[in-house]
Amino acid sequence: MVKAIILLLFAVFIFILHETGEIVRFINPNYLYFSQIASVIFLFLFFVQVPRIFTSSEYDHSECGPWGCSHEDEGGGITVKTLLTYGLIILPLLTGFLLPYKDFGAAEALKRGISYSTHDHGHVEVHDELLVHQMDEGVQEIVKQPILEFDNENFVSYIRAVTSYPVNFVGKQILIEGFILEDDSFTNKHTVITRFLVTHCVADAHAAGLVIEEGSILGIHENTWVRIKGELNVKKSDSGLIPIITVSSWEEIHPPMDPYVYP
Amino acid sequence: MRMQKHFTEIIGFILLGMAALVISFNNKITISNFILLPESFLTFNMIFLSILIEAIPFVLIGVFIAGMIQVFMTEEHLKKLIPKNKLLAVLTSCLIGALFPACECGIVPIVRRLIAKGVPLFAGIGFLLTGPLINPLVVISTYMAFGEDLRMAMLRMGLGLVIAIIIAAIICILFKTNQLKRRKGMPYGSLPVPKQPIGKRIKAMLEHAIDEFFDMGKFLIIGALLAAFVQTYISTKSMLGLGEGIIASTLVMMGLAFLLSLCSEADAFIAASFRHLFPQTSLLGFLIYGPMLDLKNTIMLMAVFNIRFVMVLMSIITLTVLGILLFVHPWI
Repeated sequence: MVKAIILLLFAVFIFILHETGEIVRFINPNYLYFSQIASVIFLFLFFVQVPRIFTSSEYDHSECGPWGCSHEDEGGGITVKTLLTYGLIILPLLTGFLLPYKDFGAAEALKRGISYSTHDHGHVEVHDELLVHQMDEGVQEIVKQPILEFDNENFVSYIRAVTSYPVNFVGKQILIEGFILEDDSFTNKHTVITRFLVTHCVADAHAAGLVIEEGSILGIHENTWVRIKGELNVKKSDSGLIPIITVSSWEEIHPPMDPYVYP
Repeated sequence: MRMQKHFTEIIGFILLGMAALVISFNNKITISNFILLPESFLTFNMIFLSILIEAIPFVLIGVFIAGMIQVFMTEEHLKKLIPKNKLLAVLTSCLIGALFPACECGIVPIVRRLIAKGVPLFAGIGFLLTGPLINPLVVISTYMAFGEDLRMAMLRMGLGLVIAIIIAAIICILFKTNQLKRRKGMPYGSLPVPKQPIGKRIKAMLEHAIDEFFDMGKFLIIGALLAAFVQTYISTKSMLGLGEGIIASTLVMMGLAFLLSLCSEADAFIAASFRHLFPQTSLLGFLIYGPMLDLKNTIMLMAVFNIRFVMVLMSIITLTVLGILLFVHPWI
């Protein structure tokens, strides 16, 4: 009986997440159909389980192999162990139904570490012409863009290009959205405009962003979402050249419906 | 009997009706309005739920396959599949695992079923190690994560396979019996199983799958809770500070892989984000160790095998991965 209800609740829970679109706050939309299938399977298993409510005691073990089966003895009454089992399994349903959902912000980004330079250390002194040869066509295509407009689709490829070959993008106009965070783990404080990249589910979310030049002067609060217009530049830091944005204008925006970027 | 059938239908309908009600009345019955919860707790909850939502489809597939093995595979089939020669058996199991796209939580119930059916322990372990580590999805995601560089993906697969074979061989030498946990009231030795009609067998398979889900589900949830806790309250930066030098940094990355409990399809992207902090060998430690062993699947393994065996297995895996990586380090 309890099992049937739990199976049904799991099906309902996943269904609701899909129905309301909340599911994209947990996992990458590319993997949605996996959990849809899971929901259907739960419903199906529910139908298998319901008739067993009455027949479980007389279940015959003829199909169970030598090292036993996983059928529990349900006749033994309610023990602490079974209570614990169900309690644990219900836990995600409880927190899932009752607690509000929250998107990741600056605090999580700092905890996870944020990458704004993917450079290889050796390349700092190399001339531009040499770098052009090393870039693949995708990056060269991006360099040719008159203005870099970051959106959810191109964010990953753009940020990868800019952080890998910062020198080639000096002077390029840029338009980027994200939330603001203050990273003080370096000797001098950085203000960074950041997005979270979610590969599979938010448990593997990692932050990527670009440093804003003289960011503290702008007086933007941490965690606010902004749209920034500016020019790319480079700056020498402890570990080499990193790309930075010289801001020409910025405005505050509402946090978007889909706060994460899905590579 | 008739009465019972009616009862079943009535209760089924009542439950379905309740489900429909829950769906339609789902406008925010959250308790946030009453209690102020700390932000970090909500983050914790988000990570916990997302790990579960991500893992559950794969666990379901796992328990289905386990149920299928339980009901449809006979011991004779398996005896034919696994070669008599132990060395060959190790190789075969690792290669089958490599072709089998599974994730580290879905594969535990399958392996348990296989071993219970009489597959030798070392073959089961070989399968357990390579299943999540080596498969097409993981190759593609690793390739993408490291800037479309085939080298890292190839190193991960190649070294991973070698390491898995070595571990399976060690297990083969050390342990002769299957190390499954014994349950009370369980008959030993094979019983003659009478052939049953196919409909009944499918039903038995589904019921096995349900029970297996509840059996494994609780351990998955404990694992997810721990992993979410680590992710929320321990910052990766504080761990990074621990490692200078190749041995320390490889150990740190392996520890990180263990604690974060990421799915093997996604972990390459995380590893890539550490690229500027650690040498490639350490990243490989992360990439190879993570799919073999992590917090959530350790909890599941402990539910299936004797605790002592899990401990030994963990130390063998840790030492082998570390040893091999340090050995090949000069060439990477």
